[in-house]
Amino acid sequence: MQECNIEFTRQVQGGGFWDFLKFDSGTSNGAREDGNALGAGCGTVKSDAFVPDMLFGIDVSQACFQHDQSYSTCGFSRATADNNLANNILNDCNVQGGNALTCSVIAGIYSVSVSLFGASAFKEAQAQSCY
Amino acid sequence: MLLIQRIHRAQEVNLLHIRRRLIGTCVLGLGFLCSSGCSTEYFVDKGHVDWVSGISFEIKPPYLNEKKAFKLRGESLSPWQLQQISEAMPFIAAFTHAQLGNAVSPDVALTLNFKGRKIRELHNLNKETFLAVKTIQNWQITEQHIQFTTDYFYSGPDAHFVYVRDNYIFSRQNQKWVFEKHATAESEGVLVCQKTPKAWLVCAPIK
Repeated sequence: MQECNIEFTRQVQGGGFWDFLKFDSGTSNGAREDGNALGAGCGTVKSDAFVPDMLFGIDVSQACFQHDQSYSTCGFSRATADNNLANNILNDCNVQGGNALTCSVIAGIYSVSVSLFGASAFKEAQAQSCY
Repeated sequence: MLLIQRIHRAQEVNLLHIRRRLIGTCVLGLGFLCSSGCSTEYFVDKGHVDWVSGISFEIKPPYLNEKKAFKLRGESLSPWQLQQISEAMPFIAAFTHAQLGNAVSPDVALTLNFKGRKIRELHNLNKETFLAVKTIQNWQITEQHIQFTTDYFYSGPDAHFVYVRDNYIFSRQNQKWVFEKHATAESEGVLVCQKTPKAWLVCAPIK
């Protein structure tokens, strides 16, 4: 196996002030720009176009995708999944050069959103995975 | 003086009405979003059929998220190649689900009885570590074989995401697609991620 220092996984920091103004759902013309299927990030196939994957220049798509996969894991606790989402956004935001306030705001927005809208999504994902 | 006072009073009343209307609209909007019908419509994923160059892909359960991770656009795939991937998608998704090993259903557990590399063993991940799939890409297609790479990620010891990649070759056997071997003797291992000019994180193997 290839020997890699864990330090190599550190992400390079963002492009400064102008990145702070970047908000993006990661979709255009009804498809995801990364080539994956709709819903492979923040939001579902129907909400991917208006749920941002990037806020204040911070890419939160992987934290969202991990959250989706947690919901879809049979027996996974919703509270743990939602807590992990907030923590992952905070950590990932920090790695991408976001300041403490920005990272807290982003994590807060997504935490409140999943608290408000996550119940039915969790129920459906569990039903799909626990067959 | 009295006239000025009346104008001020009228302006205050107007402002109060505007504020009430704004708050009312916000409450109604939030209520609409919170209503079970709307939240089900937009925030529950029951799957869909994706069309790429005229080829349909069933992005539906089981293994919905594994199927979402298939990178089907931006790889210059011909309709014939896309058709091959479409046929192999359920098998590759089940295999990926088994590799993740977060909660493996009994019918899929058998898939892991292969002589290939297990991503959890490669990176010494314990059962508590949640392993997720990021993207399945770098497709190379022939009549009997499909080669691709899978990017996984997990929260590392310092709580930051660690991205890793491995490669696979599937072959067609009796109308099924099964794992045959790895494309290279060693996996690509840990990836290094960088922000693009548009501020997205893109990960690639360390050269």
